[in-house]
Amino acid sequence: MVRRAGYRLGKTVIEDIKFSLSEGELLLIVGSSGSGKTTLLLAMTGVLNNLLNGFVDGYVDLFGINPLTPEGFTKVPKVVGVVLQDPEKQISMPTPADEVVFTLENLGFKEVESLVLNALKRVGLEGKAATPTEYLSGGEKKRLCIAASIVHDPKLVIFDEPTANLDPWGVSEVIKYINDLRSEGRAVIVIEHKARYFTKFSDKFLLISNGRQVMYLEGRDSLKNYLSMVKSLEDYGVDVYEPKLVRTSENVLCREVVLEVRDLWFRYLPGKNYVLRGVNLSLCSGDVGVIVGPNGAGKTTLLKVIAGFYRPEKGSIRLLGRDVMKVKKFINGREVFYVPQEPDYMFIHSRVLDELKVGIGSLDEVLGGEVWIKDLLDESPYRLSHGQRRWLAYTIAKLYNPKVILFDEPTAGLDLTLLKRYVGWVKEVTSQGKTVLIATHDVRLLHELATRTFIIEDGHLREVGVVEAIKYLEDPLRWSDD
Amino acid sequence: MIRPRPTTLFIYGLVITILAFISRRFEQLLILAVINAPVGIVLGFRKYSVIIGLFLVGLIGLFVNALIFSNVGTPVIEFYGLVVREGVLTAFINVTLRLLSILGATLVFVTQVNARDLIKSLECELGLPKTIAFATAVGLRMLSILERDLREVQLVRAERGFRKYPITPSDIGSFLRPLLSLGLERALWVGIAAELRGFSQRVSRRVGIKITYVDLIIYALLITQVFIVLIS
Repeated sequence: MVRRAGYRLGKTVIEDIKFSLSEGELLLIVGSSGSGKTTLLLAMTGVLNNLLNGFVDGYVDLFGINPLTPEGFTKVPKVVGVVLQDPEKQISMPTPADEVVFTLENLGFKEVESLVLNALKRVGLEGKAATPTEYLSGGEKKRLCIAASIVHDPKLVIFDEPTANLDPWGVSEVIKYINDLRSEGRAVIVIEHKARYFTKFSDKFLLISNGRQVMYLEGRDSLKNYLSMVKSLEDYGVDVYEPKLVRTSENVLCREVVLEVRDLWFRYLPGKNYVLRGVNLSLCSGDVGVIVGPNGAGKTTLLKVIAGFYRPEKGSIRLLGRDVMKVKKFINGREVFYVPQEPDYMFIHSRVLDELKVGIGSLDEVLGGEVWIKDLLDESPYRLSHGQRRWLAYTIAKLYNPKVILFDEPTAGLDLTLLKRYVGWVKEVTSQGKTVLIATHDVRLLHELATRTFIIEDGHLREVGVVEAIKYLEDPLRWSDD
Repeated sequence: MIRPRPTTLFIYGLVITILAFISRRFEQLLILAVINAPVGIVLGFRKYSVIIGLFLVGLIGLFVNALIFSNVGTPVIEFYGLVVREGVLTAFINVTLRLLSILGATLVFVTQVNARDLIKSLECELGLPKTIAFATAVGLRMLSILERDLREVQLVRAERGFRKYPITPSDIGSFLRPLLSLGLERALWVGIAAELRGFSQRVSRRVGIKITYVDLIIYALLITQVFIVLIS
């Protein structure tokens, strides 16, 4: 029971949240971005008041331990394993074996070798025990975090946004591990805004909005009934429903080919494997091309090559019929603008206002309906929330008035509300004749935006229908329907 | 091949850094730089080219700094009306040699040390507080992530029409802001994650330092440099 909690006295972030969980049960905590889900995690593990100088007013019992007291807090790791959202912010050691050993050494385990091997084997990383962690894929890093968090056999495992940034194959693996942990009799808490991945396994369900408990359900049947009946969860930014094999976007009549890529070959170093192998692609004015494929298939590299960041070994890139490969240094945000997944990379200035002074239009035109930003114009871009930072990055891209905008995983970590805003934003810029190319794992974008869809695997790109692309992303998750 | 102990390299790096700071004379600094910089740069050239690049970029700022604060003595060169005096060159060369010595010793350290071994060595052999040992080890891991961040920032700056390599103080500021923002956020969460994996309960057991012949060679080299600096 958390009556009030926050990072600074007098500024309450979460209020009146109450739930209980037994061994072998899975609690799904859902809510939009900024609703207070992660703050709840920090509060119930004692991090908020013991490490971050925040406050928690209430009562928490973790298998007889009160994590809100300094004494209890030191005992939390013995019974709780926590897997954070971003593996880069969790992994601290150079190899998977070191990372897992670190947990055991901290907790005073003496014989660690067999425990480490078993933990790595369990998540399929036994062959990469000594591989530097920077060479692991996103899915492998997430699995490593799971191994390092469960190696000491905790009774409760907490996952914060476990499917964020993973491709469907990675999501499928993580769902399997989480379900296995519950089946073994551990208590599991999953904090997610893509609730649809976990509703089938959840025993309890907690919906948070604006830091308050909106709904708390116990019992799997009541949960299923509720989800099938009520669509209002979407209003809270929760993604509950299964994707349908249909598209809502419309084909664009091709008035003018804007971007044409022919037989593109690229590798990072001579002698290394090609990352792009004979890629062909063309997009018209107003098109939204969506590229899907596994992590490491070459999506980001393709966007960066089109943006002119890297020069391909073979092939051509034509922009409005002009061969940009003939330009000695083709990086020009006023022709093609690449928006990275991490918005922080985009910012140059120390004030939001300066970031928005790029060139065209009045400030009111630039801001459009986004009135909230007017109060933040003098703030540093880094003080904005994640969703706000993304919006700022998109707006900067728009201000450069490029012919083509390239987005790398633009919706990673965005809840349904923010996703809808992004979709609206893309529709607005494409209606102005701009062309958009998106690399993503997000099936929601295929539904809503794609006028052209591509699958990339091992550097080979092929154009497919939207329905085929949706199936491609959803098939790895089908096992969970069985 | 037997690798030197992390403790040895830590002590080596620390002492060289102290020597570089206390040395005032050109000859002393030259000796330190000549011994340490080539070894460090050769070892770190591939993996930590960004650090070397940042060092080179930093030299521009160093020269500007010397020009502002040490432009005294005999005029050496006149450039578009700007008189560069002896003091500028002396200050620039001395500080460059000092930084080269530190860069060399640092690169030797970061290329030869594994983060977990470092924690154990610093805690168990030197008896350093675990928080210092952990922060040092995490810093090592973060170097490669920082390098990736830096490359991304460079690419986006280029497309936005800004300099890919920082020259002015304003460039340096705008380069550092995203790196610091991301670095601080990562550091905070890595700390939280470590605490949630029982870091506060970690108990160090002191053990004696086992020295191999490689360690002996490094200590001999270090003692030689200490003597050279002290007697020269």
